[in-house]
Amino acid sequence: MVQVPVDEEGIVDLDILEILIDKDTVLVSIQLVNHEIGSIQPLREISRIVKEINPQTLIHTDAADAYCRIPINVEDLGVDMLTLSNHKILASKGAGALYVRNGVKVEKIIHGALSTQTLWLGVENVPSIVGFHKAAELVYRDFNKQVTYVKELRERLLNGILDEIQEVLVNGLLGEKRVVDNLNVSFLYVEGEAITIELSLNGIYVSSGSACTSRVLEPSHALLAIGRRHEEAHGSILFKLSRYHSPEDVEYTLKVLQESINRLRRISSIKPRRAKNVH
Amino acid sequence: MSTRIPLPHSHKIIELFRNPKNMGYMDDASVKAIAGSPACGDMIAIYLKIDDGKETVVRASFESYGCAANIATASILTEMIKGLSLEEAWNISWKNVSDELGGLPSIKYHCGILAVGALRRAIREYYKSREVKSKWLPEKLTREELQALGEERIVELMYKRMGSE
Repeated sequence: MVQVPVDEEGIVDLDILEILIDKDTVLVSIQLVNHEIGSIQPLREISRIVKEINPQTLIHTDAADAYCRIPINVEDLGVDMLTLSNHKILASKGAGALYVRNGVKVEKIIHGALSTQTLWLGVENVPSIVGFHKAAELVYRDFNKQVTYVKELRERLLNGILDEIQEVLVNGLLGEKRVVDNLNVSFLYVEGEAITIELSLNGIYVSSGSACTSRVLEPSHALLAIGRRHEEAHGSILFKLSRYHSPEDVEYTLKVLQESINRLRRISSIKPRRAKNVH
Repeated sequence: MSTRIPLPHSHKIIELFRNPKNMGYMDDASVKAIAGSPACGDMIAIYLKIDDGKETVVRASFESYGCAANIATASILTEMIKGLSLEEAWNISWKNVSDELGGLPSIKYHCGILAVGALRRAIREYYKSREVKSKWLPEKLTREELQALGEERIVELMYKRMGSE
């Protein structure tokens, strides 16, 4: 197995991909949208490159963070397999979906008494599957409206952070190549887990790519892959927005966030360079 | 203040995270020491004001770049050592600090170790700067000091590897 590197915006390096594909390549698997920094991969272009070099190579994409956020058409993307996950579209945990193009044979990896007909070992989690269907239905009845709404919330949150908080780094792309519900920002001189706890004490639930939250010494590999230094990754916060958030929620988050970052920076043993320049 | 997410921290840790005591830079510190590094995601600075004649801690303060447990640990340690002789302060272990906080979660033990490591570095540095040899100060680095050093070295190594790729 080889890994294809990404550029500083988190987009797969197509030149290297082209070099890596050969007659022995069985499978290429690329996330359609990265769950941490929201980069939308040029999957149609990737499929074209792969199939031109080796038409036998199968292409799989993990579209869990793309589904219900960007239009997905498996023919258009040129993929052979695609996976989705229930909990990524505001449904409960415990179900997923795998699209397999006609003609592609997939062998089950877990065998059991009940798995003679399907790829799944046991009995299906019916409530979760029904919830999955309903959640998708709720998005697709007015998809464009919801996407636009969530994007507006995200843009307000992004602009508010950039306007009101100094010394921040936006991780990943801005604009159309970023999925609408994702915002990932590093707040310098503070540690991410402290921010998540501070915000959760105020009813705001976010996650961080800091090493503390992953319980290992290394911070988020996705942030390191786009060239962030360890201390920048430690201060990263991932915000996810949905149609259930309101503009008031965003304003409240901005207010609490600004206070929290200011407070934690006062405690921090690393002081902003700007402050040093003053003295 | 409440959260719907169950946190593995004691009430006291959250309280000290929210309202840390002895926080901030000390202008007239007799000595300062740092343990950890920004790249580790954990860095504690300890400042001590020491009565040179009595060799006691008059005041202590801290700065912390780290998680909630890190901030709480540094804060409680500066409280615990106030008024103690340097020898008594030296003998405080990370376990004492953890007990005082109502128990650190196991994944946060290193926060206690780092705070004690920073304090011991400061005490060592104090004697070194005064060129005084203390009877009780061990020559060899203690476990807490070694742990802080280890964490710093691992990150240094990781950076070197990243640079050489």
